[in-house]
Amino acid sequence: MTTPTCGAQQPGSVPSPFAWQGIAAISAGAALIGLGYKIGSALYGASTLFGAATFTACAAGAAAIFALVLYYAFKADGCIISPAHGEPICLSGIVQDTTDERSTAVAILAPYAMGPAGLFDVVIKSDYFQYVTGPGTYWVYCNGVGAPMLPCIVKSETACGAKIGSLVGVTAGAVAGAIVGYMAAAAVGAALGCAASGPFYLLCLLVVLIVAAIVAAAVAMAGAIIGGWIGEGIASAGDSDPVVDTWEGLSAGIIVTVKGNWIVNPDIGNNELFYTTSICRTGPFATPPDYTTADADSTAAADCPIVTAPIG
Amino acid sequence: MSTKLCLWFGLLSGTFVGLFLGLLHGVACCSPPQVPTWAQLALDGLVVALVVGVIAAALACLLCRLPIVAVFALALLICTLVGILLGPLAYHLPHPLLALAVCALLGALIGRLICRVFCTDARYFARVTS
Repeated sequence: MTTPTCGAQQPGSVPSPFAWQGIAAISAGAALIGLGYKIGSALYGASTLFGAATFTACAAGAAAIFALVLYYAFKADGCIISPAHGEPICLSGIVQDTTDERSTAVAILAPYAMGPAGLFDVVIKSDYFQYVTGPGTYWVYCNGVGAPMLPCIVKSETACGAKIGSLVGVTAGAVAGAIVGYMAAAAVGAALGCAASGPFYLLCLLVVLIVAAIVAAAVAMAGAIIGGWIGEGIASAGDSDPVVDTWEGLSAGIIVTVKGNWIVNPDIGNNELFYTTSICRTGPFATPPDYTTADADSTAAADCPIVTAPIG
Repeated sequence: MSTKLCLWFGLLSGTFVGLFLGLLHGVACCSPPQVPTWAQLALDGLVVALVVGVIAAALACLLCRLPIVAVFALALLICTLVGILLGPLAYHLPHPLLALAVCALLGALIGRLICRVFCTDARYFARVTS
């Protein structure tokens, strides 16, 4: 098979799949705001005109954080929603580089958004070129010397626990946030004394609403973070994943045979393994990167079944 | 990625401007009641949109590892337009939830238009930010 062209494979941009996660999150947020408005009107509508508005602002702040956590929980990453169903493949080559995607800041401040543990790029043997130029491919990654590479994504062991924990935590936090936010707004409103603020009356009321929403959002976010930490802790207490353990020991120049779920990346349009299900190290390569396809071909035979290129 | 980010910034700021200004619709002060001027409402909308924009940009930088200056500049640009344009509109709509829906849609539209002007190569941004 001829060497694939690096970069763009066809004109136009990658067709975006229907982002139902975003629509679901927006719908849930809007429903919570509507519910907050109804509850606020029922509780405070008759007694104080501004009470209902303040409660709705609290609900909006909490709903925004709830929708954010829900959006990440519904991502097709194999936690709640299964990843895109691709084809199980096996290939071999030389590791060009590895990237650790884990972020301490995200793990601490936004555990609900934890993504894959990391990825490594494999300079593939020429026998496997069809795996970087499969149907629907828009992009082929190459290294500095023009050798095609396949990105292999490694699943995080703890992200799933963190997401489920955050979802539970934000639910409790949103309810508490609406109450705490209302109390904070009442205190701020009394301190500001908006009735006497003349031409800036509306701006003064607006500050009260903003404070209510921010306090409610902060409490909901705190619930999500604490829930995420707990979920992360529970997930990390289980058995370690052999794929993650092997990936952590990988470095550039290791000859590998990898297996995984072969898909087209929905954002960039390149082929990739999402996720990698097996990594087998078969030894180091003698020279430092960058590696050529000839280098990959010169390594020992892979532990994969014989692959035949598709006709046409 | 970049076009989605513009859309989200516009949608979020539009949602909160619509809701908050809509909630102020029935509140009157003083005797006789004074109708707020368009400039006052634009200022109120700007305040709400900027607060939302700054929080949203900070979250975007944390969650997606995007370049900080570019994201904040984009958020401030979109939110300034959304606040000034949609603040007066939201106040004059009859129901806060209607104001929320209308301003969310118009905010998303403004974000999309800003992106069409400033972000010309989506694939380049997708590669940089992925």
